[in-house]
Amino acid sequence: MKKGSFLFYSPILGILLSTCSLILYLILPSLISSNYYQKSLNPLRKQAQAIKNEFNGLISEIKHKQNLIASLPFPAARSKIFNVMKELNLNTDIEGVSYYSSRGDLSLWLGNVIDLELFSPERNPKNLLQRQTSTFLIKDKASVYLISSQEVGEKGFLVCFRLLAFDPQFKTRHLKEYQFLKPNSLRNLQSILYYDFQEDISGFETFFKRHKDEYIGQPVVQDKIQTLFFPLRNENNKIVALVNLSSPSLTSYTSAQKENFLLTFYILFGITLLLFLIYIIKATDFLKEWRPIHFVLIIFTLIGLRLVFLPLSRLEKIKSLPLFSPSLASFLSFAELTKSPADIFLTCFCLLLIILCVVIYFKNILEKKKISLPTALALSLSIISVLFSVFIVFILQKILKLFIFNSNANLLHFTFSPAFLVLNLSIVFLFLSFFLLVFIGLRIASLYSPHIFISLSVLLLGYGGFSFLFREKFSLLLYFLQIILISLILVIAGVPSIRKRKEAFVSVFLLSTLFLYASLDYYSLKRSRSIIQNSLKNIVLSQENWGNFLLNQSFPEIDEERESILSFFDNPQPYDFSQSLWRKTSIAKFNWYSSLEIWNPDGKILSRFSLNVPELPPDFTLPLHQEWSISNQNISFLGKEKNFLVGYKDWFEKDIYLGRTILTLSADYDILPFLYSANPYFEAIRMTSLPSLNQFDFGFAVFDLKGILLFNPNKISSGIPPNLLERIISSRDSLWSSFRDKNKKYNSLNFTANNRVYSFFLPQKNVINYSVEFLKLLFFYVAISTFSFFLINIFFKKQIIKNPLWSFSNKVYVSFIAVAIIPLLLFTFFTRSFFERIFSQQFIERAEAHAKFAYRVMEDLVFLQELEKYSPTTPPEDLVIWISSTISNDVSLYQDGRLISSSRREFYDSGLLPELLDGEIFYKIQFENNPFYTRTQKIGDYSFHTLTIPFPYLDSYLFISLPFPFEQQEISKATGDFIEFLVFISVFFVSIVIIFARGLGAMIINPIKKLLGGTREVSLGNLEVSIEHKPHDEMRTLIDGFNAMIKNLKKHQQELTEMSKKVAWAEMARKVAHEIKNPLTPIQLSAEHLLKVYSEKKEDFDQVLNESASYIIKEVENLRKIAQEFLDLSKETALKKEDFDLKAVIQETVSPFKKTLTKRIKFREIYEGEDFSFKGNKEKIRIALRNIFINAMEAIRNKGEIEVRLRRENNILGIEIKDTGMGMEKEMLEKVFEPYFSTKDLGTGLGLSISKKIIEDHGASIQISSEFRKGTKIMIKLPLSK
Amino acid sequence: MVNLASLLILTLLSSLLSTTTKNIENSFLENSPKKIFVLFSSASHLNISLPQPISFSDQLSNQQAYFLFQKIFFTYATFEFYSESSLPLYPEKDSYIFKARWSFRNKKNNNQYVFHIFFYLVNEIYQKSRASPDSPWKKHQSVREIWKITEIRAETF
Repeated sequence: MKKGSFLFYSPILGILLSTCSLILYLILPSLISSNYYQKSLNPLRKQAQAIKNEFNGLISEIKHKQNLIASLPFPAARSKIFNVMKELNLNTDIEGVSYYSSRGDLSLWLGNVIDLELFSPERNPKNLLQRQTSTFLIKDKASVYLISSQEVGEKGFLVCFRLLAFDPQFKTRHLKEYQFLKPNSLRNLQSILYYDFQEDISGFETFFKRHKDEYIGQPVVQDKIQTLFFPLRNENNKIVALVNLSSPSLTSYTSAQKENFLLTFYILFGITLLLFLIYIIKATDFLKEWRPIHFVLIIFTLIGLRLVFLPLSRLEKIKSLPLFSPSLASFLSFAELTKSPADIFLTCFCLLLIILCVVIYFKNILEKKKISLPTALALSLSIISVLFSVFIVFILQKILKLFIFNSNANLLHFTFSPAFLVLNLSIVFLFLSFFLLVFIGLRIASLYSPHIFISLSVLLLGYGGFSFLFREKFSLLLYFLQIILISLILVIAGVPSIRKRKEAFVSVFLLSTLFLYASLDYYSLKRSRSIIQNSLKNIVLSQENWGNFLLNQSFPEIDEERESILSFFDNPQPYDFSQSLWRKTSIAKFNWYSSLEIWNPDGKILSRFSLNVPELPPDFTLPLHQEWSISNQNISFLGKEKNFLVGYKDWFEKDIYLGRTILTLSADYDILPFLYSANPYFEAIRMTSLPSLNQFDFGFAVFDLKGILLFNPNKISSGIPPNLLERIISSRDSLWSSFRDKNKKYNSLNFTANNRVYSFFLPQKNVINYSVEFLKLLFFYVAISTFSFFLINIFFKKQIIKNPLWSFSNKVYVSFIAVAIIPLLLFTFFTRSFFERIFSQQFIERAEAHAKFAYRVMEDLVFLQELEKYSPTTPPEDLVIWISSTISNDVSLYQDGRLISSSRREFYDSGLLPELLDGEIFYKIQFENNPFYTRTQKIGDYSFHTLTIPFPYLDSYLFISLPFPFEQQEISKATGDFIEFLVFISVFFVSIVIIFARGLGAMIINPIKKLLGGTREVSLGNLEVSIEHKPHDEMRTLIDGFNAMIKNLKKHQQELTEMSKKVAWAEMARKVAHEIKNPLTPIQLSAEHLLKVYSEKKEDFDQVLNESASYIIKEVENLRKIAQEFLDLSKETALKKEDFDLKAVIQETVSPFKKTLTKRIKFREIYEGEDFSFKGNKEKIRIALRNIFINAMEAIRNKGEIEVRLRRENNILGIEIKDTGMGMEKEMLEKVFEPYFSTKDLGTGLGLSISKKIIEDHGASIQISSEFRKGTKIMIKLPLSK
Repeated sequence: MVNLASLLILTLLSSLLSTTTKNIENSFLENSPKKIFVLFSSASHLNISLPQPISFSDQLSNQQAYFLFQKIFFTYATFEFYSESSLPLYPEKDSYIFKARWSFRNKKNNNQYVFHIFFYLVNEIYQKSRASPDSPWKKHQSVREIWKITEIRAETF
């Protein structure tokens, strides 16, 4: 890794930035605390303005809708009016519109509206609407509406509604407070008080006139909190609401800001460590060259990385994320590293990386120096290693058990939730970490063990020993899988030839998946049984205790209201007195299904409130009790026996009996928190729920002591056999048994409580269930492996991705699989939606059948009324309750769209449900004559369906409306088995396709592979290739063509060689002549000069002779050198070949340069692979390499580096020589291998051309690439003879 | 003699119950999840239902519950916790509901809250026979602490 790279500087930058964040975190309080009180008023004012704008926006919106209506010619026909309403595109959850006729009757409505008749003078909405000239507010039970009206048509009124607030009496996860404001505006909101159009607000008008619509409250000095009050006004400037905003305390503000910087610090520091880790890994050859310092740095960085993320879960912004919730999964471990799913994931991931680094580091060390030990010591080491490996397997099993028992997610129930993915990945990482340890242990054992069977025997003995020591009870399958898996790893670790086989990898992969699946399944089942036996059973048993406790808590709370109760007996008004009394009890705080009745001395009900509890029967009697008394009662309601706790007290004043208060609590199964009741009204107000129990599949049924089914939400058709029933009743404890129902086997836990037999049952899996689950897990692991493979390749920038993915053979396989899967997926998808439709239809049909039953009962009522000549009255509420009880479904009855009676009146009384029938249902039935109509409705955010049918009654319609659960949950349950079966079939089908694709692939791909091999041989210069293909098909034609082409190529090459030789000789002759001519001229001149001096008999002849002879000798020597080099160049290609180690030759060649040029040039030698033996002329290769090295060294002017990399890849030895010298330009590069081309003054220009010739004589190739001023790279590929 | 023995056992149970409720009180006052962890039942999952601002309702193992309370105590500090139920002289053999008033504040913004909190305590020695042999925590059951929490509910004022 170069110093100038991004990875080198990024950790430094990261440290700087994280330090800045830390400094800001530390100095922040002092920076923001000064003047905070004054400064915090401005944001409040801004927010106040934003709230006013939002409110004004609502008014504009509602006015805009009115203007829109006013601009249209208003139709007279009902259907057209309804269309106008639809065209307003209302959000019917919070908006609504209603039409009042000229007589003031409510004719049509749509969306969230209220009946204005209840709020109008003389019960005539027209009076109200005519008086309200601007928008106004109405408070109705739990809701507040902004209302605006517009006169339309012939003195009719169209009224627009906008929900401003919803504050339900019951607080549950489905029922939350609603305010019209955007989340940002709710930030500092303390309260909004709304004022109805009937309320007197003149005091506020005067007050805010004086304070100019802004009142700043008295400061809370301790926390420096600013409080701001301001009114919201309608378009006529009339106050309709009062808002109170409070600034956050200084502590709160500082802490939020500090947390931001702390979060930035953790993230930046984490990223810094990550980049540093990548830098170290990339800067070193991690497979070969790790030095201890690298190793230590990496380990510490990994530990640091894990620890840096540890405090993250304490930050407000992070801890609210589901992945950081301990309730999903958490267990005790060292330094609390596993306190949430995210922590478990990070811990397992870092553990895997640390173990991987340790393994790589020690593998490198062991490979370099193999330690030989005395036999006894070696044997001991081997035994210890085997025992260590077995121990590790048991530890893994322990951790898996801990993991699953402390996880609320069912890890075999595939979902797209991040928690599921993170927890499953954690298990994979954990398994891989332990697998690596086991593998290393067994590898060491096999290195020092005299025979593999000794290790195998120790393994089996050790396994038995640890089983006894840990006293673990696994299923037989798990025992078997553990032994097989460890044995397989031992064989793979001990036998290198097996290790290299693909089949070994596949077997380990499959067996590991099977082992993990068996473990997950085994512990999940144990956990389910434990939850049923120890938790669910206790919940059932504790219900009565809770009921008694709450009753005892409520009695004094009612007694506190003694005075008002006594005065109520005097004057029993209002009727909802019992509701206000009930609200003050502890029972109400728990939304416990209960009722409070107040009786007069004759047993007549004076006041009654009930939450999901029917009225006590008229014949229900209890003895007089002046103090509170509790009794457990099984009371029969319309043929069904229900269990209640009844607490009552008789009230006296001066010995005069005034009456009785009765608190009735449901102690039956209705209230159980784990029960999905399928009744929307029950489900919406359930306060205590155990959502994680939805993750596992269990059923529940209640029988009486005679074995008769009382409650059967899972619709089982089996009863309890008499002998088992006897055993259950006589047993003090619970009993496990099994039964078969609708071709499915179940294990059930049975016990008695409150004269009932409770039965929890777990379905037993069959072969298809097991196979589907296993295949799902296998596919999941294959997906993870493939993804990791790609990720690793990208990280190390290897080209492996390209080859396997886009090779022709894989394209063929992928195409086959795609062709098989796509229609299958489409089929599965459409079949699913088809079945969903069918199931949905079934729900509707069932509801319709129930509705028709109600219809018949109503018919009978009318018939009886006619028979008895009763004057017709509205059907009594008792009748509706009776119908509801008979069909086990709630029923509500409407007349003219208004509620007249309901089996759950309390839901309407408390404002959870509107007393007006849904406008669309009313319209569709009343004006479009639909025989029935279904529609989705909501209580809070709980969705359900209603089915409504009309019943002609007197001169109008009664509407019988039945709520039934939103089918999504029921459908997913009903279609679950079917989808599992489809998945299994799909997987089976895909497996068949894969096998088929392999067979078909062999027919197409094998000849192509042969052709590919042939082409590769040709590219390496081997023209002796001939491919065989026996079948007479199109491939045969192609292959014959290829063979013929090679034959022709060979012929042409021979011709070309002959021609080249001639040309080469001519060129050689020309060059020889040129080279020889150069020294001949000075020789000739020297000889002539010598002759001339001799003939002139000059005195300096001796000196001239000496000089000329020396000159001639020097030039002759030069000629000899030229001749020798030509001789070298022209020698025959037949080489004396021998086997030698190329690595040794490179080392010997580099060694002398290394020693003499240490200061100037740094040599790096990298050897990838193990066997570098090569058959060739060792000396020639040495010369070739030396010439290249000399060239590289001469290219480096000052300091630099030469890197030589020897790599073995399949049948090729590659040598790469890279220098950081001057490099060459393109023109120069083209001539570099030509003889006599040189850039150096003293060079002969033959060095590289000789090297090229030697390399080519060995059937190899040489390539050069260079960048001017950056360096040159020479790549040699030496083919290994087969 | 038999009555005397029963009386002694009940007195002992009562005294142990008093210790347990005291320990619950201490764990809340000291914001110590470790102290309450030892009081969680190890034989059964715990049902915990806490309203806003904590907003939690589910069943958890004792170890999960430990981390949940660690999280709660990290965010909120108790400034008042006292029993609102008088301990019975002779408690029921197998269970008892302990009610307390818990006032606490959010450490970060000083917002204050008050809960009525209810602990469902079971006598695990009495219920031992009912415990599943599969229970993974059975071995770790403390002998000293026989009254264990199996359920926690709360409601706001």
